[in-house]
Amino acid sequence: MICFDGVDKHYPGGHEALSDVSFEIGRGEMVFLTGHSGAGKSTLLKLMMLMERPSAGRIVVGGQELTTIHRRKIPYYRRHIGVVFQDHQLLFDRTVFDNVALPLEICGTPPLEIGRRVRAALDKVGLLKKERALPIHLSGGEQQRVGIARAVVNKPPLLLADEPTGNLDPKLSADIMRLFQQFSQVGVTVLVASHDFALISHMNKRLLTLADGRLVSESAVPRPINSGGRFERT
Amino acid sequence: MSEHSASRNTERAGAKSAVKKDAQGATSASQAPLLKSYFLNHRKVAKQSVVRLFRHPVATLMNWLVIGIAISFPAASLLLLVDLDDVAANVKDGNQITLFLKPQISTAGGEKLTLSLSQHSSIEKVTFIDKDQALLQLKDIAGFDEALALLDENPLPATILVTPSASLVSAEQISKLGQELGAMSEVDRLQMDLEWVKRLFAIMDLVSRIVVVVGFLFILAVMLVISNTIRLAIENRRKEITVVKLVGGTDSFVRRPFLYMGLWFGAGGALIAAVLIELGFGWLNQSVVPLASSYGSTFRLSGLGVLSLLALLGIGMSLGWLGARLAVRRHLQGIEP
Repeated sequence: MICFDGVDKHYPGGHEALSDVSFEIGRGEMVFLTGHSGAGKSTLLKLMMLMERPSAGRIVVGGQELTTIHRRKIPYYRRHIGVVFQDHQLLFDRTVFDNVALPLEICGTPPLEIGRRVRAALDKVGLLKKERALPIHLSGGEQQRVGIARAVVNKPPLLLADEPTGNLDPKLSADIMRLFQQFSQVGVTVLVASHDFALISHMNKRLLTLADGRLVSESAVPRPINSGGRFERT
Repeated sequence: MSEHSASRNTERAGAKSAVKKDAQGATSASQAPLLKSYFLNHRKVAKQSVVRLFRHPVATLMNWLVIGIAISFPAASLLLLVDLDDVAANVKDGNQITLFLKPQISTAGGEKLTLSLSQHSSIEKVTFIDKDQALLQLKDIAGFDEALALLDENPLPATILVTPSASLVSAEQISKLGQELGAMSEVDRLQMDLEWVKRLFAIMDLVSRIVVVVGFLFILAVMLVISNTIRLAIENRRKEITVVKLVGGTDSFVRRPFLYMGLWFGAGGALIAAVLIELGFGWLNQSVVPLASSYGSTFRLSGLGVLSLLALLGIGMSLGWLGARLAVRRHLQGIEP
């Protein structure tokens, strides 16, 4: 599903964010990405979102060679990836429903279908009753769950999360991790960047550790058999 | 869903990636609903951008007024020019030549000259007005009656009105005829309407050039005002743009609300301009109509018809769209997640 091959990324000014990073993640796997802050976790996610381009090396996501994707094709590529942000990036001028519906509207989904899918996603994160609420009136944990509902409403084959539990207490964090685990069980590839070691060790998943832009350790967890996963709707 | 079954098929075939599948889906069965939801999205965005405008009614009204005032000037000038052009078209036929005869020429002499001129190949029509007739005509015009009563004798010369034949089209040919007629011994002086027509057209040409230049500047100003307003709107919605781009919004999706905003700014401005023009012309007509009727004309400023109102609206909306397009092009590219 995801394949990094000798990826370098340096920013103008000489800062080396990633150097010679290579790894593979199979379809339906759930993997944690960890490391101290500034180790390159966010850069790695940004490369996968095509918010940045690598300085060297190859990245293949869902059978797509990212270096060859034209700028105009980026939106269509991004529609296959659900992203959960630490600061959840909700729009405060519209309701929970409209926030979650955004990716579907962008794809041109018919209104009836939008209603059905948004409610399914909100039900999944336990916020069905809050669809008419404005995000500002929700708690931090609820806002994060709205962000997750928006990320999965499209049924993307790949889910990326950048410090999704950064501001949450341990109980809420565990709830959210359980959600991610459920998605991976139905075939969604999940990559979670986090430095919450207690939580990660509890989850017992494969772990990629970055330090100063290098991949320093990769815990050995057997890879699923169908590792050549491509983007497909589940 | 056709999308789903398409996906299953490719899965079975095991060859095509889903990214390619989307492109295929768009060309086959799913095109009609996609097109429908595309228009639905347009309708929704168009409505939302109106709602957004009315969320700040004072600021919106101010913008509309600025745009309306700026559009009304070139539009009103254009309408005035069209009206004047109609007037001038009537004058155009008046390439008449008036011959003032020397005072010692008798009425019989004048009639004789008229008869001989009517044989002239370049002359279509000749009318002789003797001294008494001229006096009577002048008396008809209000106010002159009393003034003429003070005079002992008729001071007016006899005149012959000459209409050149239609075969003389160029001003040069007509002025050549004028020279010929002026050289006759009976003629004291002659006046050619053509010169006045020429001057009128020269003045109108100058005025229309000025209107074009000033109008162009005003239109540029309208576009820049709209562009700047849209730029501020883009700044205010920076976060929203970032999020939309992150979840896969294309450039045209991101652009759409701002283009509609520009369209509404232009439309509102055009409507304000229409109101200003109607009010202004109504007010001007209060003095134009009496003035024209004193010249025996029923001329009045015609103002906006349905067609020119639609044209004004169209122009306003195009300007809004172009202004928005300008802002979007310069400022939207810079906002990347």
